Amino acid sequence: MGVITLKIDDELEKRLRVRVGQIYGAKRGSISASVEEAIRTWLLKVSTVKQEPRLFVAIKQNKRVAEAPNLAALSKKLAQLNVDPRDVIIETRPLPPLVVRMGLRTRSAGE
Amino acid sequence: MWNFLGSSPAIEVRMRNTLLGETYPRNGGVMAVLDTGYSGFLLLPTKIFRALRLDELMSRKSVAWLADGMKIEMKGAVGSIEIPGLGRTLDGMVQTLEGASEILIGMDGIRGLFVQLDCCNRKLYAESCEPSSSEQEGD
Repeated sequence: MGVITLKIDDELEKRLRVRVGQIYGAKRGSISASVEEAIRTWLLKVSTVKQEPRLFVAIKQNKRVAEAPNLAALSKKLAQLNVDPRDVIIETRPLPPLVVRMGLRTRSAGE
Repeated sequence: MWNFLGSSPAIEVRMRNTLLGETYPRNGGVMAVLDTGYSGFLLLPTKIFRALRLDELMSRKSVAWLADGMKIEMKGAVGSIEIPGLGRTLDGMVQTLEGASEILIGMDGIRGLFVQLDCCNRKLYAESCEPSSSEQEGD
């Protein structure tokens, strides 16, 4: 088992000890277990993002006139080309699915 | 961190028609419900879709497949979501359909975010886990 000596805010330490005591009691190793769980959650959060980059493509009369990784950059390119954004079809790559799933929202019948 | 809106998790956002320079709301933000059952980017009531002048852009039609099996045609145009609390902007396909009364952020609208739903305390935590799409090199 690795050993790390940590310096943390007094208030945070107090909150940690109180909460760990409430959940696990005075069991030996319970603070280490809770810190280990927090480290696992943090590592998951900062793990490498595996997402396909997105591209926005402006198409006019079936021809690509501009493309950019975001709309701000695409807008700039269209302005430079003197193309009105209303005259182009803008598609995203990869193409989004044509069918979008919608969840079911519920409210009381009186609303 | 945001509180739930009624029984649903919600995030404060501003919406933007980046191509025509329109923002909604003009000042401050509005609460948008995070709907993990919606696979799209952002669903707006038609009134807000029009206020953003998204109806002036060439729209792309798609089909909404509802949980009860019904299918409804939706209009869509590209737009942006700003999340002031995270200093983050995301671009995607903004959609609307007749009768929509809420602003819904779907799964595509939270891509690149690390989201924690704390249903015990009715709070939502979100952090960015990738660069904002509008911060990436564009040229």
